[in-house]
Amino acid sequence: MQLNKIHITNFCNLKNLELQFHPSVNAFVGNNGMGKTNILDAINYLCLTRSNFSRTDKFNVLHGENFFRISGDFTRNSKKNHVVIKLPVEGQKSLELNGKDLERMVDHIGKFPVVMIAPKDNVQILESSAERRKLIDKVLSQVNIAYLKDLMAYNKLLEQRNAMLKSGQSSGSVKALLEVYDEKMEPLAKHIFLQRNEFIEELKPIFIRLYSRIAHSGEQAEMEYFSQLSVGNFIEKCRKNLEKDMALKRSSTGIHKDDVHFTINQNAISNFASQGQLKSLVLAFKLAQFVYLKMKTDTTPVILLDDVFDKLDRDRVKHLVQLLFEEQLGQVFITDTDEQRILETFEKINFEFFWFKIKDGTVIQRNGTES
Amino acid sequence: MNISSKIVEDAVKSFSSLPGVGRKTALRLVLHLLNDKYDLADEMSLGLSKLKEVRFCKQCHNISDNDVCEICTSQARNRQTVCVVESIRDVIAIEETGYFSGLYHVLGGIISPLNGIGPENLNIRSLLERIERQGVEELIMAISPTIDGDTTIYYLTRMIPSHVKVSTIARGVAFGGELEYADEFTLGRSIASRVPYTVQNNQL
Repeated sequence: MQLNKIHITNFCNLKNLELQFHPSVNAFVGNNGMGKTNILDAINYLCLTRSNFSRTDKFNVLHGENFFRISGDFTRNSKKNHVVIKLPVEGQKSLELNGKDLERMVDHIGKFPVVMIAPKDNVQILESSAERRKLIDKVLSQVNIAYLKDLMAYNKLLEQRNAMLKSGQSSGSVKALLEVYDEKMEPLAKHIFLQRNEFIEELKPIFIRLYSRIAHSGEQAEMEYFSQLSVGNFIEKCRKNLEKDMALKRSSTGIHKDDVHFTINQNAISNFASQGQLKSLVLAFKLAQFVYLKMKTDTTPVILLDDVFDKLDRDRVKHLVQLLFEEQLGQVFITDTDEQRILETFEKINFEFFWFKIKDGTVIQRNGTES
Repeated sequence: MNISSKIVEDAVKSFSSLPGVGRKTALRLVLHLLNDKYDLADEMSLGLSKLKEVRFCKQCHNISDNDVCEICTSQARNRQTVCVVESIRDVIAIEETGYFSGLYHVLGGIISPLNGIGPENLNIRSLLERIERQGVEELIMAISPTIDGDTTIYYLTRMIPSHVKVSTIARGVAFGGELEYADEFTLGRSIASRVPYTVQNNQL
């Protein structure tokens, strides 16, 4: 899959930007806060109908304007596709595929697979299990639309269950209602658990291989999926925790408590990992997701690399770029503040690419010629 | 709008506070009443002031002029079958069909803790009492097919005695509708919950 062209209007700090892309590598250079990441996020919008940074949609509208619009031309399995996403500040987000309005955003997910690697991922992987689940859900939703629908239904029921708990009532009829929610959530939870479990099992060997390639130091990384559903009966657990839930006013049983643990040489990363190790681990995890997506869908996903070379030593940068090359990444979009580093890196391996120098939301230079 | 009569102005204001009525429509209605020669306005004001007397049926919570509504007191109706609905409007809609001769029970909403509606905010206890007292044999759940509607049906089914038969209204392809226009979910459900065909009950 390829993104050939993008037209961005009023998105973040990008007033009006039209870019033609190279089929393999596109690099954006420039100082911090110039809009490099916003270009990647605009691509993310075209693929997943939303921001990678879980910001509310309307915060992405250029200050003082009342809408944003992003359009892109994709080639997918040699068929041309035109995607337009629009957001009026006062109104509903809409998405158009080849001139036709899509009724539900969810129908677009998975058509144009994408993986974005951003500095925030480092924090996400350490921060909370909720963020780690989000990283998994983002990939699974792209390969399995039934998974996304189950997850949405499960979350709706969970929200109602929590609202009932928050009300603080504890009569017999409230308890009976909580049990009703448990029974309705059970089949959904089971399905989600099985999908996540299978996903992690498939991802694990790819992840381990990629980490050792990036780190290049004989370090061994591991990942493990934890879920309350892996042993015992869901309903029984819910019953057992009912009193506790009512005291805590939230639901303590279910797949919303799932987690993934990462270790390097059998030590938990949260305790000891260095910035560089963490970055390598996130890269390996994300690239593994890319390999997985490529395996499961009939097209090569687009990959968005935001500031990935930062905090990596020269060796790791070299291994990473070699790896990108070997895994046949397809189309890559990459940002870097260090113009020299990125140009040298790609020139060294004789990689053909486009580069754009971004300043204040516009391109001031591209492939050596003034624009 | 510049109206030379304060009385007309007030009447326009009252009409336009109704849902679906704007100021222009309100003015048209008021002018109509003004020109009317058959005491329509008097008739209306009498009727409107009587609205205060409308009560809710003690048995089924439908609107009623007496303590118990006409549907509940009717001898012609089947007292063993009760149709459970969300609101009074649903009762009126089902009555319009002329296909149902049992009694009703208005829940007053569906369970949605997010909107502050738990089982105790609905007319569920009175339904359970009715089942006991009235010897109800079947409950027909005429409730919207949403996640919350489904939860409400599930909850009620758990609460009522097991000898009571529970059914839900059929969900599927619209009458007179063409298959190719039905969405896949609806069509899928129609196939899964297909009904036996007999010549007697399927004549148009």
